[in-house]
Amino acid sequence: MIGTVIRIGLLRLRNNPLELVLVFVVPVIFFSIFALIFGKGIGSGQTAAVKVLLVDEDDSKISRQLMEQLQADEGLTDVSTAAALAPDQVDAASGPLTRDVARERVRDGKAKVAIIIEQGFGEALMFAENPKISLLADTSDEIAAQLAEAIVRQAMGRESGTVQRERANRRIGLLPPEAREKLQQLTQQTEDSSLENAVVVEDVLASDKVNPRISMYAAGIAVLFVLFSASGAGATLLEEQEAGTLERLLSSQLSVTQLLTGKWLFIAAIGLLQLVVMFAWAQLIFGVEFLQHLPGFFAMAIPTAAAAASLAILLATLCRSRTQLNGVALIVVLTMSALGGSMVPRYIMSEDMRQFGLITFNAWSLEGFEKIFWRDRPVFEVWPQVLVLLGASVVMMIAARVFARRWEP
Amino acid sequence: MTAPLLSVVDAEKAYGSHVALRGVNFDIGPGELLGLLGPNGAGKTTLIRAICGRHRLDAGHVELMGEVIVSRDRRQRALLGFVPQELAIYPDLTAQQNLEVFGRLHGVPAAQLPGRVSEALQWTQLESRRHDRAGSFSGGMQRRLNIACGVLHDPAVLLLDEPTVGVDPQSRERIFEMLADLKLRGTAIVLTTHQLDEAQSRCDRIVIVDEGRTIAAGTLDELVAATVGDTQRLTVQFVEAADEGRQRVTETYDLADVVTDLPAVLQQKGQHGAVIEELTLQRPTLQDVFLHLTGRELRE
Repeated sequence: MIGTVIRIGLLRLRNNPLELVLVFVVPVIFFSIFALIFGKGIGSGQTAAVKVLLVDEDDSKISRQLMEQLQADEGLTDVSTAAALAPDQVDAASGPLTRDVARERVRDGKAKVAIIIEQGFGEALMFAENPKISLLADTSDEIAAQLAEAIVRQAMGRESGTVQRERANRRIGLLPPEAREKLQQLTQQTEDSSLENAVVVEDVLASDKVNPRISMYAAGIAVLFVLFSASGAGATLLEEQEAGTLERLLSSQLSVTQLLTGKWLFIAAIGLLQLVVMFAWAQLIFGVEFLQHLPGFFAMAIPTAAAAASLAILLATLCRSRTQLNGVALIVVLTMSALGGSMVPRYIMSEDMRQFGLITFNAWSLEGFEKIFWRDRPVFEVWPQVLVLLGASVVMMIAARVFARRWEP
Repeated sequence: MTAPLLSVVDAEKAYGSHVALRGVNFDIGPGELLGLLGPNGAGKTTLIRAICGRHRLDAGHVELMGEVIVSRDRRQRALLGFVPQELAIYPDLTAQQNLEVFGRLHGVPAAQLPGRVSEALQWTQLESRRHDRAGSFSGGMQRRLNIACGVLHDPAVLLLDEPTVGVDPQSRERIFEMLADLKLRGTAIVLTTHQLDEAQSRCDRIVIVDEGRTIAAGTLDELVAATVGDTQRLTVQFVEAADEGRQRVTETYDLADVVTDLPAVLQQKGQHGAVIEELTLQRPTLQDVFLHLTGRELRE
């Protein structure tokens, strides 16, 4: 008897290819996606390098040497200095690369960190009198700020060692070996203690926000669940088909185009409402600045909900049954969310992975929400994200309409 | 007969290599109830859907009030009502909400909708359950609601696909009362059914379809006359004397003319000392006609 029960299970599994895919293939796909995200990037073996700006306010021999070291470091990329900045990179209004310009560029997301070598740095390093470097960081990418700080400390340590050794050698060249060694140890201790507080990290975006990262998580989770509920709502089309209601609907005055449009509007409206509820809750409980960013929120939420609704309708028109749709939607939504940054932040992905993630509209949506809630950018700056989401929405709806021809005579 | 409301002319339809309709013909006039009979796979549902404009015919056509049906003609759709075999209602909406949404979809003007919904609730005897979710109804109540959703816009022709499947006798009776009401209002009703007794007793005319063809059409009398003939079956149960004593015997006779043949049979029995206990005279049924025409039971 028990054997028969097992046999029934096996036969049903064998006769249902989608279930086989869900059981054996999907876990492997997800393992691979997360392995790529948490591993070292798609075959590159590299952690994403940090985009930085270098501002040398000291302009001393030592600071210039440090600048050279930083520019040569592989952990930093797109290193822009005042000298290296091409004319088209210099904002006409803000002029050459200064601390303020650098701060603005970090706020805009054009660089993750600005490294400011403070005035008097060279002299302070020479005499171990608390040399100072400021890091203006965009901590939406926590890893970038930490990596930049580590690289700066390392470079500073090397530069300090060189400077102190040269200085000591000049002064103690005539001392006996024991005294020279003792003095070098003392110099090293002074130097280490003087560098302890040398790097000051300033968060240029989150410093004036309450619970700043919550807005990012709110957007990520909200988009994921908008996708899930949209695909669930899209399944009503197949439910109606299986119940015979679709046949009755289409025998009335209703056309297939009207049916799809009505479904799309409903799903999009529910998605939008879901996003509103999510962000309102986030403001109420976690202090996310939802009401302060209302126009920007709607600028992103409407196209996001529209795209999710279109995807749901497309999947429903592609699938032949609710069972099939449930499986396909699960795979598509989880894959998009993993690649697009709803499950893990995009900043921990390699550059290749981030670029690849842009095939999902989660990535575009989250980028838009980030501009609004994290960077406080004006609403019009999210136009690329809005355009991509609305474009994707239109394309998916056109495809859905084509597939829905199977419901027409 | 008055001018037909609906005419199906040489309807043909194939799905790949499977031919569903090979030339079906019939018509129906106002206030008429026409039964569409045929074994499973005979093409009945395909035909109903072609009439609704949901299937495009490969050849032939369907005329509604003298005009060929075009699949997306809103005016024609307003004249047709369709009740599918499935319970095509929303179980999570109340009876009233179901009627309202289907009324809107069928183009009932907003001002008339509340009145039509109330009438429909009365008609289906669901008035007291108007605010209950349809999913909580019995099978018979759901069937009634299913029919009401298809007639809310007062169509000239109503197409019913197996409207009494899985329904208890009381609910079936109520459904046929509802259909009788519609007939009185002049609605032409086409109904597919597997219930031969239902078709025999309720339908004005019957069209028998098999393997995509109309194989017979007419009233029951016409069908009987054209197939098994007017012969009536006499069953006589009597007691007669035998070697072992008395024994009970049942015999059947096919009588071409009851008036002359029946007395002859009775006289013959009397002469042999038989005592007649029971005598039944039965006209040929639709079942006989169907078996004669298709050579198989309807449910095959």
